[in-house]
Amino acid sequence: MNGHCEDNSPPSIDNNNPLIAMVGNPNTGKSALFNALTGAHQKVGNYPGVTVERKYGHMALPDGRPVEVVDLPGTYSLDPGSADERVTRDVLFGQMPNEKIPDILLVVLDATNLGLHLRFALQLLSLKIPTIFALNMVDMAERDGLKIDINLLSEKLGAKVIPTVAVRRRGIEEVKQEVAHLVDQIAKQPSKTEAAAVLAASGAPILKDISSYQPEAQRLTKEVTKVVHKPKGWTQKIDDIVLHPILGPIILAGLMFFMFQAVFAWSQTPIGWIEDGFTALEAYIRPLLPEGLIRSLIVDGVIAGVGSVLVFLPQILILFLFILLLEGSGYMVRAAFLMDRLMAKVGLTGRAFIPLLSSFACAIPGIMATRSIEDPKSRLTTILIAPLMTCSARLPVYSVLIGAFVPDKEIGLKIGLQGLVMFLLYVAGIVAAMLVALIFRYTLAKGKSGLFLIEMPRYQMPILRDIMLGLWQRAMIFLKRAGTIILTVSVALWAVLAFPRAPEGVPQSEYSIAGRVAAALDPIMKPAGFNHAMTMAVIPAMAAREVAVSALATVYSIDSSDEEKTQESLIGTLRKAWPLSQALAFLAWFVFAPQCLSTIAVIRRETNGWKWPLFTLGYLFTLAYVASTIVFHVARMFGL
Amino acid sequence: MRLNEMPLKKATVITDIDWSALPPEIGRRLRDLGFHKGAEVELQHFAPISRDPIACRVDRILIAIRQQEASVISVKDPDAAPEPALSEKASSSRSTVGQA
Repeated sequence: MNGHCEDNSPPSIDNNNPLIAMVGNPNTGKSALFNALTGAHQKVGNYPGVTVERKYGHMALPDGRPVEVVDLPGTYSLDPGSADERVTRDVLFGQMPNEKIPDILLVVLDATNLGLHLRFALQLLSLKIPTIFALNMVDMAERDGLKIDINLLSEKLGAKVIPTVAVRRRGIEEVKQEVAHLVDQIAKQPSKTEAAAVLAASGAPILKDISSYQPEAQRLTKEVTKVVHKPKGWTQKIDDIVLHPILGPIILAGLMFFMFQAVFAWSQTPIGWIEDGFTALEAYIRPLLPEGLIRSLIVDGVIAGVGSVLVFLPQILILFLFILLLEGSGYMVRAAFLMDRLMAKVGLTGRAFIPLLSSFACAIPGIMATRSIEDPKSRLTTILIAPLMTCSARLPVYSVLIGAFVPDKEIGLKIGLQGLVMFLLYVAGIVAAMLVALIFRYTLAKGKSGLFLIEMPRYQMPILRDIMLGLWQRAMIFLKRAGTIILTVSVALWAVLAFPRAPEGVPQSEYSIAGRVAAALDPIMKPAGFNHAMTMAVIPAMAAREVAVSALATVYSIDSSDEEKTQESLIGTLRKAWPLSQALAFLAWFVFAPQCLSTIAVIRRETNGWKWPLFTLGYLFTLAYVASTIVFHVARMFGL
Repeated sequence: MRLNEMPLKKATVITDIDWSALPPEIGRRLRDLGFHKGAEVELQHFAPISRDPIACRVDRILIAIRQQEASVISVKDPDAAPEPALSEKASSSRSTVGQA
């Protein structure tokens, strides 16, 4: 991502650079245009007090002058309604604290759907802020057989209209040139910028509501559009298959199944590389350090701890790759459509499907995605069950245990047994989530099952660049976690495991502080099938779930001699140390495991208080405890 | 005829929307998405269970909407011939939902 300016500091709005505000309906490709204009020079945050994303960027005009760009939330109008609309309205009216009134509006229109989009365009024009229109997706309109008279549209709107294809970066330079042109004009006649100031001083302008612009928008659309031929209707042809009442659900289930198989199968080779890398690193460092505490800290704490988590980067990236592809292609909304009725049965809407599917990657973006659910009670329920969806941080735990206890063989049709068990664990999470949702909807969050009314955007080829950017951001977040939380917890855990030093003949982990804490918790954790190592792993896993694996690695690493370490992987150690019943109990715990502290923090932010995060913590803990107890005892009854 | 009773893949127009039967915020969403009297609509897909929700084209965009909300939207019977004199009875028997 190459921006055109050199400074990498987050753009500040305190400077006096001209401010461009991007406005438009959802699904216009506004974000793609914002990305194309600002490159990597973006800053994403929240507007104060509301859960609406605030996206600022920095752009250089063709002659190098800097301007600021704000990407306002996609809305259909300025009529006061949702939180998104209020933010857009407040910023444009100069009523948002600490935000400048934009000097220029860049209104993004969808060329394939002018009738709907021109309504908003007309409403925005009545603000009298200097405006440029980006007529986006002109390639799609052409494919639909529409010919739009750009000059006539410019003339009718009284503002420059620039055809763009944001995803292919077409028209970007022209937009920049036109912005430069307007910036010059404003500079020459300062009275024009004062329009905005006057607007702010006189309070909110009175706007006509959006439907009153409908007739004019329709008329204008007819005037500037010529239908050359019938649309090719790719989207319809795909939908005829993908939304078919019988084929549709089969395709959806198949996709989900394929996704989880792929997470397992495709990751093996890169995981091998990372493992080899860490083995080599350990072999290189071990002789460099003198026998003793320092070596133990580096080898048992840092390398064993962080290394055991880092190997899961490939799996997490593959999972995110699928989620980004499903979102980018437009399939995600179709999945929501297919699932709506089923979700309605547990009192949710198809809309909840998108946040819940994202929660497979991570509950945090999932919980943030619930903002699109209008009904507050459906939204709350979705937030509460999101942590039950198996997030990628649980993958390491599942992978290690499945690797240790489930034989690596095929059960026919090229379906691996390990992948199948993984799939079943995911299903367990989903079933639990649905049951819990049902209970909540009849108790805590009673009410009708929300609204499902949503635009289904046309299919499009996901943009490689955007997918790569998304994966890159994910990888960085994960590596940052590995370098901070996971490293810190690994080292802290090593410390409580390494001290006090055990006398000869006594296992270090049992003698240590951690061992004593685990022993003290024994009366509580033993009925659930937990041995000391498991208890020691579960506690730090509260910080981040994947730490459970590094904790186990450290626990078993600290007790073993140097030769054993080089021979035995964590998987091998566990296979010897745990009976199957305990392993199953541990897996059952992690299906429900009280989620990481960052998730709790996000729930607090999104629900504005401590009540729901604490409730989530409590109910998940109870479920985890009950589930592992049952699984442990049932497994024992079967002699496992 | 109601939007949710329409036959599949037959374009027609919205003749009326009973705004009073909808909570104001839902009415607003419908307007946002371009539902208005005179808009061209075409029922495109049914969801698998109970044919709910439905996906319909409104002018140029595809919208997913539940049966309940769709039932307040009246449309012109697409099977009725352009000249209403032609067999209105025949069309009503042909228009059983979704057989197309």
